[in-house]
Amino acid sequence: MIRRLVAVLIAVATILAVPMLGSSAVASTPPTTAAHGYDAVTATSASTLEGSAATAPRVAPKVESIALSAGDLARSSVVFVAGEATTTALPKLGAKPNFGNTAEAPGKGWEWRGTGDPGSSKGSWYNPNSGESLHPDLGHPDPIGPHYDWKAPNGTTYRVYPDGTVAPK
Amino acid sequence: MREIIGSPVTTELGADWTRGSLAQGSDLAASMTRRLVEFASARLLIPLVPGAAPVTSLDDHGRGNRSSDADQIARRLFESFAAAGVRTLVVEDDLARRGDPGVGLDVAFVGDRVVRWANIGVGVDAAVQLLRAGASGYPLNAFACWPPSTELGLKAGVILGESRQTALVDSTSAVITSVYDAETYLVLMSRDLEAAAAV
Repeated sequence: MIRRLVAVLIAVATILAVPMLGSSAVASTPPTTAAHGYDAVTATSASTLEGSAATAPRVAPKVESIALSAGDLARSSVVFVAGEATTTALPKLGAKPNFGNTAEAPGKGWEWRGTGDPGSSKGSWYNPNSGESLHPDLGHPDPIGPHYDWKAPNGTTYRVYPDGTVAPK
Repeated sequence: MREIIGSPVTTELGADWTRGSLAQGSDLAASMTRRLVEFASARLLIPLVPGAAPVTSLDDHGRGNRSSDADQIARRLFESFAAAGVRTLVVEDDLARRGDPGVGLDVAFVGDRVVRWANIGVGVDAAVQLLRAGASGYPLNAFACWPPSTELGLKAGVILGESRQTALVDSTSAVITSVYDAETYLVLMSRDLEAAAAV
């Protein structure tokens, strides 16, 4: 709920800020490649997987946010603060973490590793082929809130939120 | 001149947190617990803010610290370690196991646990990267050691027996764990390293 409220505020700020952007700013670039659910391959440094442009440059927000977008608002893919246009490659998460049942593997080939029961806070889902891991942290307090910690194949770590938002740590 | 890198926390607080992390690691990590009483200072790798309230609790809740900031502070710390003579960083992979197809070649083993290492010396890039990527996040158990990796017997595919584990534990000058939902790191340093690195 809080993240959704933040997203609304960001969207409003976007509308107000976009006309003031310099020529170097790129705003609201439509996705050139459809990205669905957890199969997105490229996104801005903090974006939802749904609606993220595959290669389009974005304006890096100056305001740090845990999760910039949520739900339908995220699909507008708008930007809100002028800055240098950047594109950050987001590794592909070839799995779907289950927020309703963390004891369920996020995909084929994932194994539970840890000292606790599958889906508990003591352990992670692990893909022994890619080295990726997904650690359920659904009890995390606000403002960060429930999420999975995802270690991508390149070792970079992200938080994956129930709405599909992926944000680098 | 002495440069304070990171934000100091009490040694007692740091040791307690580190003990909890080590308890979730391999036999090597368990052995490291006996060294904790020798460690003299603890640093949280967040920017030192003058006038800020001292850190009084360590937990696994995120604080919104950027991991990239922690990496930058870790870089400065490793540079000071290198200047003091620390030569190897060893990181336990908490999830990978011997025989996993994606585990890579340049790894050693403690039982079926995987350990990776990076040299610290001319450069520290590999060590910073290893600290970030060598484990899933939490628990992270990393050990900064005085000798070069070759002297520690770290070679691709080797299984570290008890004597090598003991030698590694004895030569450890700092234990590094993750904190705040793995956003940043806690470093527990030995007295001799703190004195030599002047951090």
